[in-house]
Amino acid sequence: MNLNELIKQLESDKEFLANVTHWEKIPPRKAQLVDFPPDLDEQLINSLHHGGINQLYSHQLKTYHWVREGKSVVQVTPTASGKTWGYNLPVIQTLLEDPQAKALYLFPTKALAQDQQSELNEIVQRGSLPLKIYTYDGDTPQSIRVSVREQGRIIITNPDMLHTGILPNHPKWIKVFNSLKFVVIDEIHTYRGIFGSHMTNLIRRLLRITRFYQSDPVFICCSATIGNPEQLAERLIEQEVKLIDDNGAPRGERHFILYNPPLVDPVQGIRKSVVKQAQRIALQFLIEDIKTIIFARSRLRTEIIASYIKKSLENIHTTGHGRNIASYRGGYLPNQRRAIEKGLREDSIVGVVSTNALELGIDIGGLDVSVMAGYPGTIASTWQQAGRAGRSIDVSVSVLIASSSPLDQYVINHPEYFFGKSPESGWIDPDNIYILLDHLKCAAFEIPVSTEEPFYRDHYHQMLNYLEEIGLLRYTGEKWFWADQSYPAEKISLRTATPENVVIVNTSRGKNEIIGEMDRPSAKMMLYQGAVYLHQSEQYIVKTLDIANLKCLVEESNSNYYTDSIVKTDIKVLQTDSVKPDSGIELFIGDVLVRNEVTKYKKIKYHTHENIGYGEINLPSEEMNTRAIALVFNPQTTGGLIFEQLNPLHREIIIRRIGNLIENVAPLFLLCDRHDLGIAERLKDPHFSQPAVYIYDTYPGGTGISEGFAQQVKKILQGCLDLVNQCPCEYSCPSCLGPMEELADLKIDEKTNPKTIIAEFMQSWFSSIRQNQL
Amino acid sequence: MNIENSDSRFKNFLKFHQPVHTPSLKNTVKFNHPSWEHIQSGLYQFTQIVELNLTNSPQSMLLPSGAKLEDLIFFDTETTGLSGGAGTFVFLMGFAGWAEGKLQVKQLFVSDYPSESEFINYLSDILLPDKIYVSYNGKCYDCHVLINRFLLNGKKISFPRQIDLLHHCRRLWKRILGSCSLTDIEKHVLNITRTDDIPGCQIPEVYHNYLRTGYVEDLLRVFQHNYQDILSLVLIFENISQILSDPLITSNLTGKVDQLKLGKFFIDIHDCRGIDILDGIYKRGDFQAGRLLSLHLKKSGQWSQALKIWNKMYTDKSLFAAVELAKYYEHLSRNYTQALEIVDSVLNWNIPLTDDFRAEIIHRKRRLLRKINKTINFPVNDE
Repeated sequence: MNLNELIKQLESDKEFLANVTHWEKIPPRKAQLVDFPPDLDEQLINSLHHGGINQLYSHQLKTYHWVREGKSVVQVTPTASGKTWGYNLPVIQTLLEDPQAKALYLFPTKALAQDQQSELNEIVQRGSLPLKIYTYDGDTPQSIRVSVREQGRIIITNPDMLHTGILPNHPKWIKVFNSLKFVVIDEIHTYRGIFGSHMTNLIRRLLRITRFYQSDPVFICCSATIGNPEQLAERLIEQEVKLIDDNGAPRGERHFILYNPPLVDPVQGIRKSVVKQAQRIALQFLIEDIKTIIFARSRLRTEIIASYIKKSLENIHTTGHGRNIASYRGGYLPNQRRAIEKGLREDSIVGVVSTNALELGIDIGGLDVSVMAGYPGTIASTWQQAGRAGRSIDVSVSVLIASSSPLDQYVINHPEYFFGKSPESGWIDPDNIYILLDHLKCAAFEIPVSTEEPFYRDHYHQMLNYLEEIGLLRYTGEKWFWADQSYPAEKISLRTATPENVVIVNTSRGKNEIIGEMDRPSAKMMLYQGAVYLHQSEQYIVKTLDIANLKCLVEESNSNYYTDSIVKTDIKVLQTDSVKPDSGIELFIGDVLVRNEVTKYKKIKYHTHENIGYGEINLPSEEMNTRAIALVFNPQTTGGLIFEQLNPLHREIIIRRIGNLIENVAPLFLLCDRHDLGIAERLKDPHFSQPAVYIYDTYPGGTGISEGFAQQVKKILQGCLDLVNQCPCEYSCPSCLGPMEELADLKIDEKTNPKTIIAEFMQSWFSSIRQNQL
Repeated sequence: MNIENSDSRFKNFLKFHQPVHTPSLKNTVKFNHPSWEHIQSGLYQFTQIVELNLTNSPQSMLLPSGAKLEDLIFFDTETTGLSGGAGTFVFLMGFAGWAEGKLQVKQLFVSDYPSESEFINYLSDILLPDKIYVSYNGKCYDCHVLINRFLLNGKKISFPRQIDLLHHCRRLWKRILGSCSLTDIEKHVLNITRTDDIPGCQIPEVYHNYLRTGYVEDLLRVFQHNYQDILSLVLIFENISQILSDPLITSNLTGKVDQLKLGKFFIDIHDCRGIDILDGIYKRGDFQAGRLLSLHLKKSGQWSQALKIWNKMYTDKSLFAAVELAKYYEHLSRNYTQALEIVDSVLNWNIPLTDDFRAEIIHRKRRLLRKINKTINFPVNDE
């Protein structure tokens, strides 16, 4: 059977269809081709021809024109839309015209940088272009670093290397900075939250250096499909960008199937295992020799799914039919990975089970079917994983299989989020004080800071004075000079907010291997003694946490439970930026002091979510100054009034569970991780003297999440109600309100259904808003 | 985010991050010392003429051909940090140069950051490109920092001709002393022991502390440290020049100099004194010298002398010599049985071999056996 026949068969498979929540047929689209621009260099045309390219897609030409006119752009680029030609074309053309011109390419990971290097190598080779292209990162040997700086025309690097290696040593890079014409920032949707807040400051520093050397680069940003690509790009580079989002690449017919595995325990909301379902669905395609990629959410799962599939195929074809199934994930050696990538491109591998390692960039050629075992966490990732299937004109299939997790259950019932405008938006807060202070240190190290330069903003003044007071800067001759013997960038990580990171050391079987880092406040909540810690899907158990020395020793484990700390949160409002009626309640935004104390943890069994025991935690409490918003149920507002009139028992159920709903739904709108949000519910909040739900940023100083929340508050609340209404469980389950057990001490009688109470309350609250508006 | 908001956000931040101690701030520190002359705004100079009678330096082998002693500038810098990078400034620089048989020592002190541009201007008149720059680790550090400082002040400088004494010291003493810090060399080679010296790693903090508080006592120790560094450079230059001018005599002063490296240095520059040095220590039982010497002889085709060394070392079970002999018998004299005998004896020596080495020996043995069989069984084919 070919894929078209198989699709027909699935369309009439009642058992399969019973679990399909949505089946979207995306019609094929013809390529919108245009001729090469007339000014294109002969050598470059030659290279394009040798690569089999005789015309451009319309969006590539559009990018070309804007960039050549000196306008900064952001391209929104689905997979396989010729994204890299979008930026390589104007860059290479300019570099060929002007032998002094240089370009800097920034990728969020080393693997993507390497992939771009090999792509550029091919372009250069095909056209015999006189351009030297180098990757500069931690792996670049000392011996060629001088050549990179002296001869490189395109330098491919990552933000971390720009931050610690290049900017602090800018005089060594004078040749590049003197004539830097382009900065390419790929995958900008990954620069959000803490990383994005750092990134804006890094770009401010970069522009300060280019100004010093009198160059003025044009920025070319690329983003996956998110809700606010233009806004995010403009906040990152702080200048106007032109948006290019009309894709001219061809596309074959695509079937996008949302699949929710059948319930096995409706009371607890437990569904059939996503692993088994993925394997079963993928097998139908693999048996027919249809090239399929299966995305799993963990390294462990990739191995399990791959071995299931291999076994099943052996049972069907006893003669070793030559169907090659590979698994692909982090932790494999580079040459193993390259072999798999090659096998996929050359069709010697028919199926691959991968973590999100294959989601971005890496060239593996086209596949026909993409099966996602679990929602990848964001809609942008979902499209990138789905996009792995679909060669330019052939039919393709993507199947998203939901797990029992609340976010999975929410999105599987909301196909409009995938096929309409993406609800996800990236938020950043470059004025986070902690981040800003870090970058002011680095900036002063790079070039003494003056109030006269464009980099300077008025609110930097007191921060620079503060840095002088603690002895790191010296103000003299109307400038702030770096006045310390250290090298500030070295101690500042772009991926976390505080420099105080706990190092996680795996000590299994006599090893002493650092596997990761975590900021101190989170470490207290996740790395207490006895905690089960998941790192890149491997499971560890915490042996000791030494907060004073910022060290955590863990050992590999295969316990059948995970742990969840019980956090006691005190919140003190430090500053109110605004409190105003919004969405039928009062909405507060401001600075808060969060004091978290963890005293106990629960052991929770996987799959069933049963509570199987408690443990003690002995750690000092953690204080953090951060940004928060609060939903205040003030009876002066319509929603607050309705809340006040409720039965007190119901009020308690609502206030306790509403935080859970927000925690489950908000990440979808804020493009953040669950752990980036902290929630605290108060039946009577001491500050407001009203019931309130706080949502605070778990990074000190905040990363823009609170501001983002305020802008989307209506959508998020509606999402909460939808989650309750659409969850098929009876009372409450981990997929919606949270495990039923957590409500046990409220002594709810059988007539009181928490779901009904919450849904009814929210419905009348929302309708009061609408009435008010009329 | 408006400014008022950020201001009050910062006030909240300060509630939790008050500076622990507020150092007494002096935005304008005034440096003042009788021996130091104020030459330009904030730039100070100390000069001294030192009478030294050094006999070997003028015709030193370290000097490039055609260069005179007067072309040398000995120099050393003290910086505000140790990491390099754009935020590392030079606050003190010492030089020495020969003029009319006398050593002129000069130190320049930058008393605060804004005086740097004066300092760089001043230096650009002194640091001329036709000079030869003598330093201790200047190639990797001081020159890079100076190049950065010049660039950041809109000027260019290059150091085309350099003598980095660290490289020479490493060659002569690294294996003997273990470390080649300037103080170690002073102690063991020049017989100088510093008293009340300030360790190099503390120097940046001394300067920062001086800027914050105006405290100069430690700063004076830094000046002294830098002054001694410069004098030591001159003395080490003389010392190495002496060793190189008469290596055979020095090589008899056993233990003072790494004679193996010294011999290799001469061999590398095609100076036949290298052979004599290596031969001397080989005869006293240094097999590494035998190895270097025999390889040199082999390269220049003096097979009989090389064979002599290999045979002697072979009787002492040297694997290196055995391999060289086997190669010689197999490829040059084509005496396969002799070669095989050597290979077999290595395998019977009962000394631990690395896997790679064993594999290589066995490979050689197989090849030899093949060649022997060929010559014995099929002599016709050879005709």
